[in-house]
Amino acid sequence: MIEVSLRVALDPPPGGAGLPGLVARLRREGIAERRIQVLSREPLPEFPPPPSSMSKLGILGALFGFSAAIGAIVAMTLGYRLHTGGMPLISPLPIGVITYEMTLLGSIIAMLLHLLLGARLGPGRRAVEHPELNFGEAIVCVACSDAEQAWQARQLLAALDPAR
Amino acid sequence: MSTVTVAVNEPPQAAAQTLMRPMLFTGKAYRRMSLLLLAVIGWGLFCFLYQAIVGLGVTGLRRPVFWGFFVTDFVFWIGISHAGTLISAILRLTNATWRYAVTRAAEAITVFALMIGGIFPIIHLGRPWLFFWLAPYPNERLIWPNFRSPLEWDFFAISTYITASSIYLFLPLLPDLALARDRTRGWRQRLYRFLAMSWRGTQQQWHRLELAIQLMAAVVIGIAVSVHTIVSWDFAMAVVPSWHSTIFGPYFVAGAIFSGIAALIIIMAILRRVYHLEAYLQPKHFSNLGKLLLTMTLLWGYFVVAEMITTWYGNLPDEMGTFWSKISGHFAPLFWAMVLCNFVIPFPLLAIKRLRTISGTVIASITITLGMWLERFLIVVPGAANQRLSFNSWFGYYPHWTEISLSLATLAAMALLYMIFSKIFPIISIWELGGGKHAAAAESGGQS
Repeated sequence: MIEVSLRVALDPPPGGAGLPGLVARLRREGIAERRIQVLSREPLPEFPPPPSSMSKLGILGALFGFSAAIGAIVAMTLGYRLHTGGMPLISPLPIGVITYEMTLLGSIIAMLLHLLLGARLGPGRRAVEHPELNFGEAIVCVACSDAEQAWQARQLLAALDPAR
Repeated sequence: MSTVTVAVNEPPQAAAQTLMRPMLFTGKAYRRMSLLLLAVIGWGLFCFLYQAIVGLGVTGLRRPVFWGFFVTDFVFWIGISHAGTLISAILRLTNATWRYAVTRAAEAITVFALMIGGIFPIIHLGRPWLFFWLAPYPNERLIWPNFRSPLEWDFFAISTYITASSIYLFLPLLPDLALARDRTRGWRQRLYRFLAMSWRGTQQQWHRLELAIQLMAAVVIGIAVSVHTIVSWDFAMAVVPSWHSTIFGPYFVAGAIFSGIAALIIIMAILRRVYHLEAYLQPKHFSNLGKLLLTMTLLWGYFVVAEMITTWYGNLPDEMGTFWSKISGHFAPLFWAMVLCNFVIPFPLLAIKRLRTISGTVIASITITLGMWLERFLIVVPGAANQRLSFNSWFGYYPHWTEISLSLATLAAMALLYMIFSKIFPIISIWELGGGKHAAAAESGGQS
């Protein structure tokens, strides 16, 4: 995979289309959405976030943590029966305390996994780095499958460069 | 149209350079301080080994007081840990834009204070090498932990909180780690490349990161509140006069936030001075935190009065024994010192606008930190020292040198951990400062 990139300022020149306009032009020129990436040092409000399933996965993680806690506590309590002096062996209130913690932990871990997998993050992953990127700038990247596609993308980006 | 204000007027590029400077240059003072702290920690390790070999008899713990300095320190540090994640999460959820300069310093306090606090139950064990028996794991003895025990709840609560807080500290660090990766060379670059986990700053990554931070902030508040409530239940679940109280949960949570904000102000003042961060940690940050501290001072005073007046009005003999020991008895000097430190000194310093300066808030924070340690001590020890049997007399607990040394050593460990953190990671969130500026520009119409 070849990556062709163009570095642009976030503040557009007078009369310029700005970053969202540049990306829209790329799409109009036939470059598929999944091939275009905009890198920046800060989140850009110009690109609103799409709907995400992270909160739903957080709820699923919470349910998993809840079930795991209940299951583990019941199994362990029945596995080694303490003398409780006639009180119930499985006591709901103490279980509630531990279950609460495990429920929230399950939720957090699920959201973390969603972030790491969805954003393609991980210590072993390799990605093209752009050390030249500064604050107040963005880099528009176009992923290309071969040299010819890369040449075309380079021409297109050069034509769209607002600094020209 | 709403306006967004950011912490500084310095361009983000220059801000990044300033904030990364402490990571790249280490002065002689830093090395000397590290050595001094290491020496104190070394002494603490010696004391711990001595205590582990000889036994808990080397401490001042005697019948009937079996919870002394170590449990006081445990409650104190867990309280300090509420400085970070809880305050940071509240500020994030309320979108307080002045938070940018404060949140990371706060979140780091949480993680390190939890580490230190979590050590104390282990130090307090007669046989510390068996601490792992608290963990529910398959074992050849076929014995599982007693889930009815509040100490077991502590294990779950603190391990959940430290996991959540570490994640909550690490996630907002990712973009800054990538920046450090791109601005350094050699072993530092390799370290930051590993830690940055191939962060590129694509909009997809930003969207997910911001959403994750926002959602986790909501969950973390629930965890933080539960943790100190559970710590309070270590006492409240025991049928001991002055411990068995329904108010202990919220009282402990309020006290934790109180001491946490005070610790945050002290650390911010030190960072500001040592790393020359005057442009970022401005008087308005101290003033805003001072206002929060003032609220907590009043809340703390309310809780203390509510607890004391209910005890006094009930006039139960066992409760009154502990009550009078604090008001006019053996523990009275400590009690009135606590009132002085937590209310009498900080209230005017924080309430009067002219006095709510950096120096004023720092002085108030120092007295509050001291006062909150005394408060923890006065919860733990007088309750246990109050003998209810007629043939037994009261026992005055006095800590021995091992306990004092271990308390000081853990304080040194906290300081050293923080110093190391501030040397490896930017102590102020660089991308949030930059993002704040760009968001402000975009919102005011600078961007279409």
